[in-house]
Amino acid sequence: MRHLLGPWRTRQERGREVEEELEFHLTCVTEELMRSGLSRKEARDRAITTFGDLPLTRRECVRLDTATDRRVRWVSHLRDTLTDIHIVTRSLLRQRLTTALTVGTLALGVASTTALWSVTRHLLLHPVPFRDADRVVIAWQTNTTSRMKLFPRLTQAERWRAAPSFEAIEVARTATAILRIDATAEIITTRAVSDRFLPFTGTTTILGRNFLPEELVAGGQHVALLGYGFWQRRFGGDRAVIGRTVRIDNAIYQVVGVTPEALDRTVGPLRAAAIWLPLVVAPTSEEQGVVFGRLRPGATAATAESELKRLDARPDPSRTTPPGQWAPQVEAAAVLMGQRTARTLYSLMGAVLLLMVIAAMNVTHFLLGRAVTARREMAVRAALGATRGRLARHGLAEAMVIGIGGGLVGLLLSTPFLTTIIRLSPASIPGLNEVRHDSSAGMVAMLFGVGSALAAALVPIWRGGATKPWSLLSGARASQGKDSHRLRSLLVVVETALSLTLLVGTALLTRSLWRAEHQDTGIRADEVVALELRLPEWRYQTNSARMVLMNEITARLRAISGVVGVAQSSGVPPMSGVEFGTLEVEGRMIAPGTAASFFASTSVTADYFAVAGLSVVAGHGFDPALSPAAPSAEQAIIINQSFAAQYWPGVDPVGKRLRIGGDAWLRVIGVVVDVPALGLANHEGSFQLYRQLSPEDIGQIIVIRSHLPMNHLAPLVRSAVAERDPDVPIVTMATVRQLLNDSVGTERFTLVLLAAFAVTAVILSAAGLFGVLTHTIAQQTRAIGVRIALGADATAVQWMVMRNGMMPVAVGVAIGLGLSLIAGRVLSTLLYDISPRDSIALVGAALLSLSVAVVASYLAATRALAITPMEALRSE
Amino acid sequence: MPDKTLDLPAGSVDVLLLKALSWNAMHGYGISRWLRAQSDGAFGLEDAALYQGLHRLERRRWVTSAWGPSETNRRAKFYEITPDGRRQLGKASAAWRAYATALFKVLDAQSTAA
Repeated sequence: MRHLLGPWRTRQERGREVEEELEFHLTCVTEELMRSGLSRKEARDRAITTFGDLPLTRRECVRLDTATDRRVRWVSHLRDTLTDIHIVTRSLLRQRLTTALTVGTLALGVASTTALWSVTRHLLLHPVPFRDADRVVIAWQTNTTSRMKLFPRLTQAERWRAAPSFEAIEVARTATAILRIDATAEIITTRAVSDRFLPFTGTTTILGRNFLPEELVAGGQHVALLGYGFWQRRFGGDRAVIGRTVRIDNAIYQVVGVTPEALDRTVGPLRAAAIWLPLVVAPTSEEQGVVFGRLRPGATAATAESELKRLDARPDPSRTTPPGQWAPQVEAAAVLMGQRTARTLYSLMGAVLLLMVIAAMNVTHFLLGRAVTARREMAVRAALGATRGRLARHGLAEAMVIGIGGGLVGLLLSTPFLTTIIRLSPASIPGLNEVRHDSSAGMVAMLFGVGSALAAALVPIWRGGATKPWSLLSGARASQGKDSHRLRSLLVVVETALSLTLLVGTALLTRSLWRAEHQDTGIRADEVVALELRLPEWRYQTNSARMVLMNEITARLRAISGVVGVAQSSGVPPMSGVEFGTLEVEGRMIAPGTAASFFASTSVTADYFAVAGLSVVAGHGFDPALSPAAPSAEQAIIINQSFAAQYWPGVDPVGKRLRIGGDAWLRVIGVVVDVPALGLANHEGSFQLYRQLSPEDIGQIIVIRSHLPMNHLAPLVRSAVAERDPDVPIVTMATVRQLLNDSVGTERFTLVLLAAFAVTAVILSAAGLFGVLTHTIAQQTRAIGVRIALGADATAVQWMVMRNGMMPVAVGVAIGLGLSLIAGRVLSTLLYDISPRDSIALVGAALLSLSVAVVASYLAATRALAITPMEALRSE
Repeated sequence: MPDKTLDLPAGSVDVLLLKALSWNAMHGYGISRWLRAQSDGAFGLEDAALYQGLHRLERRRWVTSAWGPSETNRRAKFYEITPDGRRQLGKASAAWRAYATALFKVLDAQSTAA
């Protein structure tokens, strides 16, 4: 006997069956008993009594049978679905080109979404690589007026240990130092911590050992730990590195261990350190550091903060600043990510979601097309008894296959996407090159792939279910066609609108970046090279010694042929120093309690302006012969044009006085042009002032003006410096143009990504438009063929088709422009000097969108011409 | 049917039914008769338990059922063992044999305590 997957039975039917089975049994038993002499009635009664609990048995059997049925039903469901998938895959493979295009479209969307997901997950959600990451916090000192955050003093952190909310507090003091290996000196980042820091993070050294308590006292052994990345880079991961010595800031240290890779990860303000040193805090030390804390379970950052405030309010003889100006602030470490990075990511996520929507719409187009083509088959099936649910499942199977295909291909594509993003990303986004795909990426890819496909399939399935078999079979196609056409036109409208929004965003960012990069920088950015040095403190302990060194190096550099001018400075755009404090301008009332102003402040030698090419537009520059002011006279300063325009509008500021933060009065002796002091797109440094370099105020930057290309100049500069003192490392050497360009690295990165998305979106909507028009032509084959047969010329036919196509596009562009105006507000924080309503960007994007649509329509229209009248009349 | 029926633990019903079906397909009444015959009347499995057991076995896919004519040409539901059922029968009878052997070892043991 075969295992019957019979038709489903209702519970009633099952009940009847069970009844019949049990009745058969009772009859047999009755007959048996009758054979041994009982009467029919007696036998029957005996049979029933000896059976046992008859009603219970009936119920149980029916229950068990229904459960069996249910499983059988699921098995047949599964079997149907597998069959569906098989059929669907075969039919999809028959239309190889369109299927590939659709799967490819979906894959593009999935790839970008998945790549961005990994980036976002890592940058925003990636936990701090410490033990119990959710309880780790960072404590700052915040200026109560300017809200600026500073690293607390280490001695203060010691007192903060008494706060009951904290389970532990550990500090890390970051510094830079000069590392000397053979003939080269380089600047490295060092971190000084106690022996408790590694246990605090929950990690241990991967090689060697942690510090010992006896090494943490002043005058203790000079030992060091290597950072993992540094160990790989500089020592090639040599496991025999323990016991080697390194020269840091003129002292010899012995390497006793290597820290794990996790500690190289960026945690808030803490970036990878090359060397870890033992921390020794003198009780009177003014040194600052990063303060990490672990909260007790149940404690919050807010309670910790108020406890710290109370501790700070206690009288403290060692305090130098008046209390009340600084207040402690406690923040969860996991939350600390640059605001700007988050904003960039959100804009990108918006773009990616738009892309996904467009991709999903293309899938809808595709599925609708197939549904219309297959409607005859569906009608036949419906006539043969397939339920609406069954037909719907077929549609779902189609969506699933496309979704899974798109998801898998998208996942594969997302890895090169991610690699490209990482390679293009600027160094200013920390931690980006640590981003990797993890298992969640696979899930996200499949989720988006299948989800979008299913969403895309909703409309075709719903419409497929409304199929009435008789109307289809009898050929009444007209009304169906019109509905479907309207729907697809709607899709074109939406796609065009969305891709236009992306285009507008790209255009705005492009204009913004162009403006930023082509602004008049005031300085001769291409000819001026900035050279940043670091003077070893152990050898040059007095200011005059430092000045002598700088002057000697300057002289050597002047001697290089090809060098036109050399000057010294404490900063150069975009790396200016800053200063802040309340500004007082002589002769003007300043409202009390004004917020502190922010200035880009640089100290320069007298020849700086000439070397850098900065024009002095009023007054004069510094006098090289004049030694800086005697204590009683006023110090001379030079301000920039914006500063003058703001505070002395229409008046010559030369000779006027100002002072900052209540310090001594300064006299303005000249005005220079503006420079992008803190970066190309940075408005904060628009007020600039210059002081003259003096023995009290030494810079470590040398500006060199020359006609030599960098690859010729660089080695000459290096040898000039090394010859004078090989312990002086070169921290930076680059043209000012290079440095300025790097300062908008993030903006450029965002732009590249956004442009890539926009281009993809435009291509996708063009493909969608092409598909719609092709389909429309297929619908109207008869009409077109007749027209051609009646002598309509090619242009008229083309025009008809194109008009059909451009209508929804025009509507889409209009809507898209509206959307862009809304979206523009989101972008406005990233724009430099461009309004989000910039007409050039809007018009340009609209024109591009329209032109692409015209091309797509034209191509479709050309295909229409290929229809011969005979074909048209034959088509049904 | 005799009154003294042994109390049977649950798993043993399944194994008896499977054994009964291991040669031929039978209907419920036939199984009941077979069991009585094989155990010389000792195992008088209650009919209620028998039918619940059969339906349970069908749910577990150890047997399948089909309607067909009985010896008296009446419509009866026949049960047939499946390959899965045969495997289960093998496992269960081995387990029962081991259990019985161990039980008898204990029962036959002489007291070693002095």
